[in-house]
Amino acid sequence: MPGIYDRVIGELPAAEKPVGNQSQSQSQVQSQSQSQSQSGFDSADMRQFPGTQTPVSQQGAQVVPEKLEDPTRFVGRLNGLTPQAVQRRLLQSQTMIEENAIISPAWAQDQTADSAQPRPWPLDAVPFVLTAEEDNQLHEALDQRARVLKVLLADLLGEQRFIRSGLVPAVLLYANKRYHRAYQELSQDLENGLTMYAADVAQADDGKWWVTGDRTQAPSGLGFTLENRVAAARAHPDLFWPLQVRRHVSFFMSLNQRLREAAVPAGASPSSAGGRIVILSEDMQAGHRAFEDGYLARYLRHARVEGGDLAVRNGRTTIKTIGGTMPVDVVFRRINDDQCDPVELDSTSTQGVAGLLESVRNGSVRTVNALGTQLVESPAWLAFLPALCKEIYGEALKLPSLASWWCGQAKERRHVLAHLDELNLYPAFRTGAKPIDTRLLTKERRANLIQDIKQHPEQYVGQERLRRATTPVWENDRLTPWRWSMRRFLVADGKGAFESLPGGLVRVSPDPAVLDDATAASVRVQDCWVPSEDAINTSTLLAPKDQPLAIQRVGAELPSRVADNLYWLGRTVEQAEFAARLLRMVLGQATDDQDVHDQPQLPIILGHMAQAQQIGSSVVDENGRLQDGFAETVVQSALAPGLNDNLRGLIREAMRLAQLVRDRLAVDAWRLLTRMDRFVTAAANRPGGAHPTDVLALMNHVVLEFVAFGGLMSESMTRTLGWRFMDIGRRLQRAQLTTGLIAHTLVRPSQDEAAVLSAVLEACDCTMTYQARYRAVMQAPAVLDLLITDDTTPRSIAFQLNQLDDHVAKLPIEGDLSGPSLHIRVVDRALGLVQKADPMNLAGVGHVTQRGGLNALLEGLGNEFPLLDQALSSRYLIHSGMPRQFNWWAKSNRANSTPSQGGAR
Amino acid sequence: MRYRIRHETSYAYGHPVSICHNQLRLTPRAGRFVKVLSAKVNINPAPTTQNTRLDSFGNRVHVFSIEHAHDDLHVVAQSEVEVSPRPTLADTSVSPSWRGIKRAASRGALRASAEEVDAYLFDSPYVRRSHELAEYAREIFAPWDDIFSACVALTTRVFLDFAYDPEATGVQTDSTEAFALKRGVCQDLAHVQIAALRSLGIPARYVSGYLRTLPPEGQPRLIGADQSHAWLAVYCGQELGWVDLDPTNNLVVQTDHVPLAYGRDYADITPVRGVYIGGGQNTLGVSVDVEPVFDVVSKT
Repeated sequence: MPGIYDRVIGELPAAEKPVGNQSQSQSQVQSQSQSQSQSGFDSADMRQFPGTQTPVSQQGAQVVPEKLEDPTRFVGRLNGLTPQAVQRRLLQSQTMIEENAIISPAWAQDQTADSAQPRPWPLDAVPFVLTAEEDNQLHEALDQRARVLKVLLADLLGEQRFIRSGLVPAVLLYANKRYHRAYQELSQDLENGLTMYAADVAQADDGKWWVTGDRTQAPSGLGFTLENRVAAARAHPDLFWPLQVRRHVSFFMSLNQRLREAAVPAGASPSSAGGRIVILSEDMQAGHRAFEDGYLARYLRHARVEGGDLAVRNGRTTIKTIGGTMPVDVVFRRINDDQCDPVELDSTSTQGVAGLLESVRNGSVRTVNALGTQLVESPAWLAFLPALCKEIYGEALKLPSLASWWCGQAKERRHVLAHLDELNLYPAFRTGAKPIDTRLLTKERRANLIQDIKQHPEQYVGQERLRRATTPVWENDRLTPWRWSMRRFLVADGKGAFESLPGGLVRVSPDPAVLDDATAASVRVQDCWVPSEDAINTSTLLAPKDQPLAIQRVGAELPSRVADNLYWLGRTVEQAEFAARLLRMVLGQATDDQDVHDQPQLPIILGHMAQAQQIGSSVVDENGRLQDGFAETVVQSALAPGLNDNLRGLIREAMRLAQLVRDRLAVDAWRLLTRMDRFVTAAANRPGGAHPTDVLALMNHVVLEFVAFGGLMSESMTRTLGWRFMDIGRRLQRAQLTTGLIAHTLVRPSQDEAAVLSAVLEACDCTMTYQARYRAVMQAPAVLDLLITDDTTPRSIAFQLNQLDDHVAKLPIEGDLSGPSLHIRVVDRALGLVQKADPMNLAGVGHVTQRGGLNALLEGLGNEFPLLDQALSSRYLIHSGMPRQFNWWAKSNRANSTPSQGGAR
Repeated sequence: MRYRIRHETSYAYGHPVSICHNQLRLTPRAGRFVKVLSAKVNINPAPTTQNTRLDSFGNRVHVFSIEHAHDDLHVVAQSEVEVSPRPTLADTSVSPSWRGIKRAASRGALRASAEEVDAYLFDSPYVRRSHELAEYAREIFAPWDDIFSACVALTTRVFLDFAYDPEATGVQTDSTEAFALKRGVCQDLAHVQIAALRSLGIPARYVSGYLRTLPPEGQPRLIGADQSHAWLAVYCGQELGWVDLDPTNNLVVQTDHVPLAYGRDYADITPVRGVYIGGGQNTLGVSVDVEPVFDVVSKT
């Protein structure tokens, strides 16, 4: 009886076949999953792979490698699991991924829509198994391919002898719209220009392997691959460990080693001290790359930075930190070539660093990969690699590219036009483009396309449509065969060859068209396991045990952008907590057995909440009376989607900010925020609307989560500058919120003030302290002392200012400054105001109906807080604005001579 | 012909600019008929870093950054050049056949010469080849055999077909757009003629520079009233080399033009490009003066 886990296992072709000539003669078809009744595929409507006469499902016998069939091992164990067990493991790994915040690109795109939940990158419950022999053969073939591309690249950016000898047409370089002459003017280490390389490979359902595309500038997927491994290994420890799955760590050690070597000027001997290495990533808004780069950065232990974090100063690339600018030696860039420098490359790019190329030219910084590596990943090259490989190494390509026809050549163009509907059409010089399937085009668009191919033939490549092999995935509580594709990663080994990451990133989909689009978001991935008999390398990226570690404490290397986000995270969390406390109090009083109209504090507090836009303003009528059903209205507006300042909006904003600094936060802190977001969204989406009593219970939970968050901050976060900025945000926000609440509720004493005093105490979490001191007697001076002047209460304004005073004194001071900085003076002034205040005077009501002294104090504080915010922002947080182009507004500076009068002589 | 050239570019910013990174291509390009006697670029305020180098086309590039707050920026490029007359082509027998050039270019046979031609045969950021432009050029070229005469005829055709109109196009307009509009400035005309030639398979490159303008009869020359200019050059075989043509003025370049830089198109050799932060509203002032020096007194 066949096991439920088997995959089409094929052999690598012994020798390369001429591209475009796909004779499938001897390759054996060994197995097939499509023949199984549960497959769900209707193979009749699918095109046969070229050369095969009969559907593969009728050929061959099923062969599963012995090792995998061994019931004590992989297949046996997997087959022995109940669907419930698999489901449990799936959930387990998904929860883990979610908490590690690997978010699929789809979320990044629609995160502005409030309904969008962060959706984890879907990892399948079942791993993909690649045999050690396949892994080895893929390694050998792709090592050869990487070496060919490396030589080609060095030649294109250097001597160009392949063009001059006519081996490759010059148009392959010049028709590439992303080619910039600047690439040829950089003093780059072309010999080692290709440090990282990735190839997309596929297996046809006849067992043959093909390369479908190359990635040479900044291959994506490495972070996801890392993440998948951690999740899958934890979900299936009983399967993973006995299989002796080949580990990833050696690959990443080599990558780190190459990065460290790049920090050393050519010729010098590498020292372990090393330079500063940063990982330049897209910004979080730009796409999914940022998330996986964050994971990669944490694993490799380098800082993930964005273009705005770097600046070229005095010819050197530097990173902007709270403590000033620090030189950078290596930029491991995860963005495209032409995005790297708006001065010389794509001037519209906002992801790069102005002046980076000059800094590369003067040799003070290296980029990995070198700039211009994009040139050799174009699909147009696929057809030329066999000849290049022959020319360079005198050997055939070990693994052929999927048959591709570049229309820049007459014969190939005719072939593509004659077989248009059988091919996938790709732009010749763009990777990651969605292929064009001409069968899906309207008549008119098809005609236009043909016209365009004839006009600009060099911009098109036709590629064989591959009938991909299948692998089992977990779908609808059972194993189901889906198509798959694999991205393999290679890194230079420092000795002229390449090292492979065992396995790779496997994408699976029931729809092969999705896999042909190498960047499609909506696919599932599998962790790829290579079971082996090798001794497993158990090393890790941690320092060796016997190497003494240099003692490190707090450093000033906090990027200004990160400090800015942490500061606003602190502010936003505080604001959200305050909103939750107010909501809890209001709902508690509205739902108890006392008549709401006998509670004078309710309209006052609700008025304050409306002013802060935590709720809509419509619950109190013109006479200051509560409207009927106000509690429902309050709940609805506090949980309504799409608003900025209600509880839901604040929690969502805290999530967004936390996401931006995900690599600086404890996993638990992230968990707390995601949980709150999930609770609140679930309550809001409850059929029939959220009920006040349910939300009251929910608020008890939410407030607890905030308390936990505060506890984490004070007990688990190291006192780095990052923590300091986050705490400054919290303290400042708390002081500001308390000031605002008192100003709104207590400056003009109401008839029955005891109820209002009591409500304010509760909102500020001071009820218990107050009762311990004064029992149930509510008096304004005692309340004001507790909320404002008592510096032993962690909720008082005085306490916040003391904390701020301590923080600002410890911020780094750069340069020679006469006298204390503005932010220190602001805090001193505010502290002075509070220290001078006397609670008895504050509570005193003069001949008018308001507390003049209290009002003056609150107004004074209210003026200082925004000043502190500005002083900190301009000093530490904002180092740059949006870069602008000289040419954008230089229309009148362009060459625009009028025809000279009467012509020049 | 000797010229003294002064090209001043001034930016006045509404708010201080905290940092800028710039590249200038404002040094005249020496060549077969152009001798650069002196050239300098002054930048005010004093740059934090500056250096010069040759780009991959052989043009001189000034690179500088100003890394402190500044309210304005002045760039003054001054030079003195000697432009010698090019041989007039009364006898077109030295001009090779355009069909021969086209064939040689498509076979890569021009590569043997020292001149770089490959870069000038295909599309570039502002130059897009098309069937339409190939037809446009072929119609003019068909009656001619020698490349020089054919190119002169095409220059005249572009001159006649296009209306000079600074409002019609912008700094981002490419050849396809300009050709559809049949309007534009010298940059657009040059791009269109280059695109037409490349569509036909003839190597053509973009030249930025200056044009000496003559004052109306009986009036004095106005200082600073000149402007930067652009034209193109066609590869006419080993003997003639690159021949410069000015479609804006319908002429073959002689001694009134002073080249600054060669490239595939405007994008490769933008005279002033860069990135700055801050600035607010800006005003830009450009003044170009191309002064003929008649009484040549040799100075040391």
